[in-house]
Amino acid sequence: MSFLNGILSQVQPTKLSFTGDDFMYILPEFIVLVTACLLVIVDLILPKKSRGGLAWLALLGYVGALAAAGYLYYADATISHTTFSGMFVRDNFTLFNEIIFLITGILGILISPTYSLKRKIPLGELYSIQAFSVLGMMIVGGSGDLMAVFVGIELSSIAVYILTGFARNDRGSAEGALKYFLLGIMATAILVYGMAWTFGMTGSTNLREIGRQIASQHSTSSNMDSGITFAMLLLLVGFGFKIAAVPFHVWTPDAYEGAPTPISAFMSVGPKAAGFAALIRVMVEGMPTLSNQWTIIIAVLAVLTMTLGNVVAIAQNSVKRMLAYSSIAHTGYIMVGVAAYVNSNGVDTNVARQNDSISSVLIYSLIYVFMNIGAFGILIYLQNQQGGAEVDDFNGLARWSPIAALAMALCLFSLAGIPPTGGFFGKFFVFRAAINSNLLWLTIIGALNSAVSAFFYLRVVVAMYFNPQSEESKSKLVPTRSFFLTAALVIICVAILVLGLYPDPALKLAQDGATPLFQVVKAAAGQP
Amino acid sequence: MEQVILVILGMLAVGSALGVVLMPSSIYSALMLLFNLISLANLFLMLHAQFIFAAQLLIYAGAILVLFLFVVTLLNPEGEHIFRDKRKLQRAGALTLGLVLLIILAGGLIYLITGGPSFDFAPDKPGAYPYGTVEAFGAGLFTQFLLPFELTSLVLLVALIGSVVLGKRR
Repeated sequence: MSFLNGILSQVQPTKLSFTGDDFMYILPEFIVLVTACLLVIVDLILPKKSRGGLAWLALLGYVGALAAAGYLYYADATISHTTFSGMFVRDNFTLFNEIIFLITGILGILISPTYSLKRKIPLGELYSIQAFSVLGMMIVGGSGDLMAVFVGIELSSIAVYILTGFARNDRGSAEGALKYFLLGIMATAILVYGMAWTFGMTGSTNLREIGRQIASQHSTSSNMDSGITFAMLLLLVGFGFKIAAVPFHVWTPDAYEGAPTPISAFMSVGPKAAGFAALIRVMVEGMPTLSNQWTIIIAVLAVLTMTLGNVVAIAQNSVKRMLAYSSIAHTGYIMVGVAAYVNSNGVDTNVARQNDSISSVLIYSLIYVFMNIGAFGILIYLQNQQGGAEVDDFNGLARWSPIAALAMALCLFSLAGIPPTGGFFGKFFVFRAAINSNLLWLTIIGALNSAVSAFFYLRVVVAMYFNPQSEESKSKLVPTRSFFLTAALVIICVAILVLGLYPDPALKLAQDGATPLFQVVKAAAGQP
Repeated sequence: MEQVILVILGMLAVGSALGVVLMPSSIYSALMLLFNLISLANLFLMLHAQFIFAAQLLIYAGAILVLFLFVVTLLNPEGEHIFRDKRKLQRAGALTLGLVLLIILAGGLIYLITGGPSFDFAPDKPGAYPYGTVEAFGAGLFTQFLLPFELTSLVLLVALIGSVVLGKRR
């Protein structure tokens, strides 16, 4: 006993690191965690026939988490509270990202069941691992520390590697999963190396502290330490892999094409948005002093990403692969928004302009969730009915399923950025932010790319409305109904139209979401 | 006393490192590497870096070396000896590079002993634990880094569920 007392007296100097308040501020994350664990357990108890109910449990968890996040917002709309020794930050940026990820989770659940049952994919584990992935992304969105960024990214990535390989009767699924896994862990190694360099140069893993250290080093010596620039480059490469930016995109087409289609839909939006959240948290909060360097790198990568994604997408006959390249292209558009953070005419810290840049990234990510999952959703509908995923399989869709064709057309118009859809406003905000930052060249390249992208999106629309359905495809037709898929598509179409006609509330929320970042930046520079 | 143990451990480490290269059979080389890692771990312990000591034993001696032994016994490569290598150019290159490395390391060591920066590993605050000790590590893990630490368990849980699902017999 005296031995134990001796140990306890030694441990005395360190105090408990969290309080009850900390738990309240991570309530949405906690709900998702409980849901994920419950899904595994309930899956074991339930008899096989009633496992369809698991989808309701997962939905309940996500909606509950959304409600909790909303409650925390309405309780205090200007909240900015660090918890768990600075690991997790509860502010409006966290909130907006939580909304993106939870909606991704909800839509991801809704589009899964029919497709997965047909291919004997275990639903309980699918929902559970997907919920863990959403949890990891939410941690990334609210991270205030490199350690939280890393663990959150790993949690979401490892879950998605597993999900990619879930269709075990399909060779492509295993191949895609292995490629994604191998390249993903390499990216992780580069990322963590960059974090180690950052820690070595600044002596902290806390993003705010890193920002302060770099600012003070910068003010004392005019020559910036090249070590921190190296760390920044490594971090950019690591995040580049996660958001599938060219030239770090090579895993994308195979992983998207190999994965079960609902998973492709999920991983084309969720982990991408999480990658952008991590990029913005680390670069804007941790390295604002170096913003002249990282914005120019991101601008150049954005040009490459947009151009390669759109040009290669033209040549694709598989719609799934085309959507994979289109998702690369959309990474490029979002990167334009990040690059607009710095005014290329010279240093200014106009907060309104910077806010435009970050909020355009946020709102584009949100709109992208709806339109991309929508396009994948119709693809799932088509695969449920007749199996194929080529452009030719869309021939005559407007004849035998006019509503599905209309929904697909809406999603594709939105992806191409044609008004009055949400996609138009997404592009509008991103390009407006770039023009305000005197990045006219980047905007022109982006607009040209949008014009190119219209070509391959409209190709599918033409196939749906003007080409006759082949006899072979008619014979394969097996009518399948799915309540969940229909519900998802209705939600998506309404959201695309609402965001296209009346984007103000969402934009206001995105601007609120970007605000707390600049308070951190100001504090790091020593301004009130 | 400490000095004597340090010197003995150092000699053991250098000797076993030479043994890794010079042993005729790959298995003996691997075992010498184990010996080398253990003496290095004890050197860390003498320097009061208890956590690195434990990590060295667990990760290198425990996990990586066992993997090496598996590979060696499975592949059973033919014994190669450094002095019986026929390729002259390669031998000359290896010797030159080895000498350069030796000079760099020795130079660094001499610089450190004679006029380099001096390191102070003592705790700078009263009550704080010295860097690298088990106490400092544990305190950090369960206070400042509690959230990532707990999340790591979820990463393992996801990997576990995933491997069961993917590895299950169809």
